[in-house]
Amino acid sequence: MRKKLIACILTAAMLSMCMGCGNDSGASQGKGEENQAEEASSDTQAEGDENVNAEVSEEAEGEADAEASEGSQLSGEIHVASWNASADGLAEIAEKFMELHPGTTVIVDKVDAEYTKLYPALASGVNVPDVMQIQQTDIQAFLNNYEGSFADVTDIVEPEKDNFAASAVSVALGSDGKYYGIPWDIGPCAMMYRKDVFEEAGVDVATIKTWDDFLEAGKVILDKTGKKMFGFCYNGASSSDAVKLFLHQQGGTYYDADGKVDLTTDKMLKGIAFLKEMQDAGITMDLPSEWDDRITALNADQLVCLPYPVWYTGTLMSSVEGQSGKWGIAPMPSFDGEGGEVSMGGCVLAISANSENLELAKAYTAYAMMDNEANEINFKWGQFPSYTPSYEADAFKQVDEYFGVSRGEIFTKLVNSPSIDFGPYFTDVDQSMRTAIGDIFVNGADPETALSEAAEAAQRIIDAK
Amino acid sequence: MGKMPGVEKALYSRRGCSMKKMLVPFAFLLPYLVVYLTFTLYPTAYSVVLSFMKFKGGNLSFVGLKNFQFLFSDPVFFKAIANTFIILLIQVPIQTLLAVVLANFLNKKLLRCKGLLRMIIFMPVLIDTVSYSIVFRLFFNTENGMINNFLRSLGMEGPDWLNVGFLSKAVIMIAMTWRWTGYNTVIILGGLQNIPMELYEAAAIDGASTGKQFWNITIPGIKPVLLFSVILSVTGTLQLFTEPYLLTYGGPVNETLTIVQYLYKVGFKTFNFGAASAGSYVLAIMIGILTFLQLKVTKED
Repeated sequence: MRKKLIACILTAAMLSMCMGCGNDSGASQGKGEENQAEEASSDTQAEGDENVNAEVSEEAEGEADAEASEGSQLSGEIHVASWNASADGLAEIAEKFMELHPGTTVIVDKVDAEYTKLYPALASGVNVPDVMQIQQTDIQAFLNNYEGSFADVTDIVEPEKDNFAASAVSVALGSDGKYYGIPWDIGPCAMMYRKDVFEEAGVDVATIKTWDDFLEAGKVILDKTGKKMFGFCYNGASSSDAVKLFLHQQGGTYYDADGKVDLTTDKMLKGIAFLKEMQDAGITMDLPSEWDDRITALNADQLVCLPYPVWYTGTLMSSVEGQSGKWGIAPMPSFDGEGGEVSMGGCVLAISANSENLELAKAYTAYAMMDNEANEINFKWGQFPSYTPSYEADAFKQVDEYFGVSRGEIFTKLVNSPSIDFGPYFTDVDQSMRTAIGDIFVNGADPETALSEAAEAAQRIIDAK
Repeated sequence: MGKMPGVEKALYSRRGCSMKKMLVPFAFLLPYLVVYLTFTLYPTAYSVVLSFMKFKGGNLSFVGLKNFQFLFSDPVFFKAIANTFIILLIQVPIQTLLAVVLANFLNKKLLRCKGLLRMIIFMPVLIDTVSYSIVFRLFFNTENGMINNFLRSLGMEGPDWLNVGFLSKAVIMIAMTWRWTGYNTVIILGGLQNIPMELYEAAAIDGASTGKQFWNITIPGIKPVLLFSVILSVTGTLQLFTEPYLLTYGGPVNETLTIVQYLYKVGFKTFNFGAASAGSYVLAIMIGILTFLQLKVTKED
């Protein structure tokens, strides 16, 4: 019987140990999540940071007088969620910011551009980053789906409204007339072209003013060199950029006056018809997996012209290194031969309404978006800032070896593109539009029928929500 | 001991002891149970609730069967189901047949370098799904893909793989077969090795042909394993996601859109978590029915 007693005591002890373990791991897990840290080691690191912070802020208190830039003393820690190279830029800016404001900690966490980490955080309201990178096309959807999650930043944006490129400001304006995002980068487009191939075919780039000129030049180039003038994903599955390019250039929209999805506007049909005309003339090539296949085609000398945004110049320089010196930059053609400015892609930074260090989050974001030095760093990492006063900074005058001209000087003159209303349901519209693109450019369907079906499908999805 | 039986009885009554005995296994299971309950059972149960709810701005509201109505009125959902079943009905039989043939080959007594061959056949499954999907995408590129370049070198113009519905489905099936055949081969090989050699010897002495031996000894011998392999493949194919997501993006025109990919789109592209949860239960029920049927059909003895 004593044995049984001992066994029971041991079991109870084990049980309590197990539960103890459970509690422990639970607690440390919670902390890990709080710090948005993925590795176990960062737990201790974050604690270390806090300690350093405490020390620094004590020191800083003494120098509070010297720090007169923001009025009140900033302190605390914020997390910034951003992706790819733009995150690297923000991290470099964060270092500068922390130097200027001792006692603050800005941690940039790399996330993916598909928001897989952001969605659950916003849905649950737990571990929401203080500052979030959100694409221009998606910010309205975020405002709609996660109402109340984003801080009003009108006080930052409103006074500087005219200093930002117009198309970048309008996207972050909520339906209540307040701003919920600070404009970051834009994608002004220009026509990048292979100087050597154009010369070989005897095409003078200065004569390409309208899209019709572009088409004719494409025919000559195809005839003389066999190379293609334009590439896009025919089946639409991997990208709808080509259709967007022509629509946005005309200032077209995806909705009718009542806010219902409308994909059969004249501007949409005009763009589609032109793409079709190019396809029929044989001057385009299919890029089924658009991003990767475009790089392959460029390196294989098959694609010689890119009416595409400024951020692609970075990709050219890094992924098509061998063609350095062969590329030139010319203005975008347009349907009527005038203007033609268009922006593709771009982001805003939004701030969590529940940030514990709202003031710090706002101060950092304002610095990162509107300081000249910060914008030079943004530009260096491939983010073309929408804050126009920064264009005076030296980085925008530098001549790039790859193009033989200053990219900055060319693209800073192309930022007056039309503002586009992406609406709160752009993803739904885009998904349906991609099906229509495939129907039109692969199956040869009638554009108007395919697009009106797509609009109906999108509207049905939206109404179901 | 034994001097105070009354006290002893009171302290360790049979019931009390068996209670404690009952608790012991749970004590050992507790750490796992906690993880299971939080990360598996809770989300599974919660998505039942979600499938009758509308989720907006962090608030849930009851909408009854609306989510199911939406799914069953969406032609794209049916398209996704059709695509998945076409892939299932063609790919799984081919793969299983190949696996049986390969397993029999690997089980041959006189075969040399068995270990090496088994490793080579099993290897594709060790390669990351993402990498192999991207490699297959490059293979089947119309302009610059290896397959079409090869065909061109033979003087043929290769087809537009990723822009033709049935060809893009074929590409998905080829990729899946490449990756999963080895895995199933190894499972079936395990079954083959459990068949006693004496049976074949006795059959050979009685004059049974190789074909007869195969049908009357091998197939019944590996039936449970074969069933297991088929159920795994069917379930896996019904839940197909990564390959079409990366290889064809569901295109052209939704021709390779699978059920799970559709649900992903509904959930994470259009933010309709309710409908996505509802859809995942429709899928779960389909898998349940199919598995039940397979067990039923094969349970003749």
